[in-house]
Amino acid sequence: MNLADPGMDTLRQWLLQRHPHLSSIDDSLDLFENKLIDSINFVEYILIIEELIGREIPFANDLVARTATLRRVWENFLADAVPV
Amino acid sequence: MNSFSKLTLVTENDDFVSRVNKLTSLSRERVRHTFGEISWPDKIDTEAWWLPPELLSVHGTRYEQEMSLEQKKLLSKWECINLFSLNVEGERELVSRLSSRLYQPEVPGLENYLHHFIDEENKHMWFFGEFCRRYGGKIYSSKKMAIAEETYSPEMEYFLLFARIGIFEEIGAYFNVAAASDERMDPFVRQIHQIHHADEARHITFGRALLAQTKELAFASSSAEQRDRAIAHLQRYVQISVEALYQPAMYRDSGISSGVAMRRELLNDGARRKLHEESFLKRPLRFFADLGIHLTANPQ
Ligand SMILES: [Fe+2]
Ligand SMILES: [Fe+2]
Repeated sequence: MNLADPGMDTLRQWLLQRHPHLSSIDDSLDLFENKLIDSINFVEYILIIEELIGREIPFANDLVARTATLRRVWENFLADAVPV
Repeated sequence: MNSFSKLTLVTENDDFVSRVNKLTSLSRERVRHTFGEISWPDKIDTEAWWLPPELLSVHGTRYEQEMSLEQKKLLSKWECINLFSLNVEGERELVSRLSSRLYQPEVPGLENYLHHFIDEENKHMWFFGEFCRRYGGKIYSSKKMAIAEETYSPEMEYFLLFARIGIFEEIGAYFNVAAASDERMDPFVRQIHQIHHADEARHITFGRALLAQTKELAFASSSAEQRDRAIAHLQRYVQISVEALYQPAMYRDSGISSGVAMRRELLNDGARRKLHEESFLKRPLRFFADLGIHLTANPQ
């Protein structure tokens, strides 16, 4: 089950654009283990999340773990963000 | 690292050792008591240039045409805060990685010099961090993060560490040199660039000499696959370093709304791509090419 949310859609679109061979992305898919995100586009991935929530995300060692799946991005960042 | 690393061979090269000793003496002669030396102004004028306009990330693009002078000066403030934030980040990693190798038997015994290197970077990190907090109220994060675990031979790991440091320092030096000599700049910001570059010139000399000494050892100790991976690693590091100059938060802090879209547009702008190649990446990429490592300024 994938969550219906404009922010989540933005991230899905961004991922699908980078991986045209995929037709959909499950919210529970590990994006790092499945190599959908590498160290280069990780930066843009976090920058998009920042823009969606309207605040900067400080450097933290658990940032990879907290953004490994779209569901975790939802739980850790998008769910209680005020729409901007 | 295992104890059979061939890295210790570099200290058998008399010419290299005497160059490092010379740098050590220079560090001692020119030691600065940075913590007491800097007198921080209460504020820095937002009508001043905090970075020369030609060094702004919008230089050569439609944004430069469309922005007013006031906007560009405001952007120069946040671009300066971003540059100094990148220095804090890079120097923090450098200090931690260099410190963790001190007095390890398998790396060359260059501690005499490395203590100065770390000492100087520790001071830089202090004044850059202090500057960002005082005049920007924050330190930007580049979101640079290692995603996949990579393993190399001890020799290659050591080489890659100094190669990344070299790329980081040479990009920084380009900005330091240009900003330090620019009379349109705010005098205090200029002074920070001058103080930094006085030390960086030695670090770059050291790094280049060490990389030239260790390149063959690193490549000889690696398989063809590992060598390709190492070069790809450096290529990614170049790209991440370039992209970090286009921090979306600094556009937003300057009152430009779409940070990420603007960053993407600037990174794809032909004038910017040409500039990456011909300005701050010119020297480091030529140095690596001379070592036989061909890196490009822009991804395809
Ligand atoms: Fe430094
Ligand atoms: Fe340095």
